[in-house]
Amino acid sequence: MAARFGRVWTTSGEKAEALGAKHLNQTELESILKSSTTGRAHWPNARQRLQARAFVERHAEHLIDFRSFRTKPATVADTVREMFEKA
Amino acid sequence: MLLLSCTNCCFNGLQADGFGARAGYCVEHRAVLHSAESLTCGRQLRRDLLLPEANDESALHQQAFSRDEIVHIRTKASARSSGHADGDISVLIQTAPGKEVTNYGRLGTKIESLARLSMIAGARAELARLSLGRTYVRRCVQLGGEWTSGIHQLSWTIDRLLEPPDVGFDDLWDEIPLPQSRQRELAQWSIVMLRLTFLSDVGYLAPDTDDVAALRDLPEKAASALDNVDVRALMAWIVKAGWAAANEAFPRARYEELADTLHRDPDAPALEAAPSNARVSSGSKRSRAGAKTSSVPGRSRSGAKPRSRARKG
Repeated sequence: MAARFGRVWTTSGEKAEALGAKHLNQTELESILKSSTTGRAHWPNARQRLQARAFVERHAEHLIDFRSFRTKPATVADTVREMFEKA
Repeated sequence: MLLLSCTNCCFNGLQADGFGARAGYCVEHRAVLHSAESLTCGRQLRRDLLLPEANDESALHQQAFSRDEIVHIRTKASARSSGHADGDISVLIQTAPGKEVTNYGRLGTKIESLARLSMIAGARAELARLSLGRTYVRRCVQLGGEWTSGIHQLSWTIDRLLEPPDVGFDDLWDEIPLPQSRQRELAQWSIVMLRLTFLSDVGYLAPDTDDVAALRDLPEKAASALDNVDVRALMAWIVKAGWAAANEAFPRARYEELADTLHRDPDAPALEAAPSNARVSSGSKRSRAGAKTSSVPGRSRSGAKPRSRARKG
């Protein structure tokens, strides 16, 4: 629902990966959100991590991981512009 | 569901993420919520967060949304104007929890509504009681009352800790690509965590020195013991550790003493002189455990007598 002041932007996992980001599908997201203190999604609060895992499972969430751009922050804005299209 | 929406708000006791009634009801605005997942207002109290986090988020939310009107999250357009919120409760009152929730707070009867909800079977009634119970105790303390305004709900919640939530397939309303059996487990998980969150809330509202403060980190302790969103494992943890921790923090004996202090009828005899059958649940498992764990009932960690001032929220 974009309504008056919003806009929906779209992309795909393939396109994100082609531009240097990492697409985390639902299975990968669930596996890194296990309640441990280590791993890629480590988080000090176990309850919040499990809550996030429940949301991922219930809503089939997936996301684009931009952490590979930490060493080249100046390029993120251009990459995002190239990655997403107006729906 | 959007975390910032009415679906995730404690003031909407009829819905949670994926289960409950098809339409919600806001007890603050006295409004039926159609498509609650796209609505919000500045009063939102997030159900998924513990009290300190929920209060912090609430303060931020009020900067973005008015407390006086339900609006669409993305446009801030009035929900009443668009027909997504209205006062027609005719459908909601066809269920017992819906009837209680739509009556909640009318004629100053909040605690009575919560008591009636506690006696209705099923997850919908429990969701409503726990959600509205959180707002009740929080508001009582905000208005200058004490955490002891929540002692009855605290006791009811501890009494239920060992019971798996009674979620029926007709309680599920999301059309999502998950087997209904798994949706049901996730709903049960949500209810059990909400029980622990309610206990945690009361712990945060009590003074640091009170035994009840030990309840604050109960949800975090439970989650730390688990790797997955697994309601059976969560219930097993409660059987193994959580239930005892809750009873140690708030033994049955202390509940009875506090209740007697807060609600004493000046014409009634003192507790010690009450008839032996006055406590219906005196033979419960919790009652027996409380008797074991409470060496000094009615005392806080500091050894001080509890203050008895309570105020209705």
